[in-house]
Amino acid sequence: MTDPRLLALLHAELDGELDAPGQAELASHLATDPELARLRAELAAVDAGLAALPAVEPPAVVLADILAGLPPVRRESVVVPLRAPAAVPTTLPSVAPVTVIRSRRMVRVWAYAASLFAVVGAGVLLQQSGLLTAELAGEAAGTLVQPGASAELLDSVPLEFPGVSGRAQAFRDEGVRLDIELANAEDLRVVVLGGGTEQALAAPRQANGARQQLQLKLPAAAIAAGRVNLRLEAQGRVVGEASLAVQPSGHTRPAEKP
Amino acid sequence: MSDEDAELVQQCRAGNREAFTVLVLRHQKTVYNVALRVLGHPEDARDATQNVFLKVFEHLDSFDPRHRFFSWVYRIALNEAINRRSRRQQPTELTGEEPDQVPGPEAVVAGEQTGKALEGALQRLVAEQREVVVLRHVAELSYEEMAEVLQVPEKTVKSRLHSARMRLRELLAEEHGPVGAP
Repeated sequence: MTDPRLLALLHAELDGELDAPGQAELASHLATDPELARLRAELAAVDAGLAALPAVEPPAVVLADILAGLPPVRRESVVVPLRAPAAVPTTLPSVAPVTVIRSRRMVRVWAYAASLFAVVGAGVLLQQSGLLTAELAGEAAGTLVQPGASAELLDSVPLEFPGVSGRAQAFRDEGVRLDIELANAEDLRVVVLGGGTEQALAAPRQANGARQQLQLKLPAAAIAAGRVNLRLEAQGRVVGEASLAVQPSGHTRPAEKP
Repeated sequence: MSDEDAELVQQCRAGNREAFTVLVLRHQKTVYNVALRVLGHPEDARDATQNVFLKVFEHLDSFDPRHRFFSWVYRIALNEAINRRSRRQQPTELTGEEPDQVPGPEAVVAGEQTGKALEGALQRLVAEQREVVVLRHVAELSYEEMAEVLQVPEKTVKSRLHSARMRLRELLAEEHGPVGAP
């Protein structure tokens, strides 16, 4: 059993808090007590091992999950609701608010969107930190935004195709914002063409007719082009296509299509 | 609280989401590693980290800016990880993987086997000891900072750390023979 006083000296030395007199006292004991010297070596090895434990980079999805789990930003005025209830097929279950995350999978979907938005909006450290994978960045082109925003409605079209039911709405919001609501029985890739860009969103299949909300921002150039086209793909084949009219502010808004 | 954290917290309170993103980026690695070393499982650490920052966001208004932001966050992280571990009950090896072969005493002193052996031993410490080891060696806090996080006197922090150091030595010796033996 090591003398508690000597043990205290050993720990103080390891903590880097042993003063000169203490060091001298410890050294004199170490010179004559091999057991104490062995204990010192073992404790030093423990400390060295702990100090050498690698710091693990958190997966990119950690940040994405956090941002996706945040409550929605409160807005004072809501011009147009995200979806028009009358246009939703009655055979499908009602849609939960977009801010209610009902499954971990959906958390992840919005999570990617939220993290990508953070990159674009804040211009902060994500890419420097290597938190965005090339696959994610390429898939959404860094333009997804969090749900909850609303603005002037430019156009609204149904998305009714085999195995797919939903609606796409275009809003004016510093460019064009697309809100897409989908109930899809198989994994979809939603390709959006507008403003000279082509972007793609992943829309995982939803069980039991559940709906998911996707959002995408397009540059102001999309307004000048006048139209935004959507293409829904499943396993490389085109499931359906749709086109939305996006007019500059002040132009007559087209009547909503049935 | 660092000037940067203080400024970011202030911006968050004013509704700036991007400021919160930056705060997460500044602290998520430490929080994740604290959770990982307490919980011993990456998936659990991931969930714990998410919960920590959601709690931080939710309670940001109640944070006292006279204190250091990271102390507050790390306290939440420790509580979250320890509570989660208590609920889980069964301790888990860090990676769920066993070493290919049991290392001899000489292998325990250096190299990656050291890390695996220590990670395993860390999981066998009592919560109080594991906390101080994680704050000291993972979060790299000073004793003063550790005392602030744990809300105990500095001498208590040191006492716990010394006990943890001795216990880790014992655990490693039980598993692999004397630590640092030639």
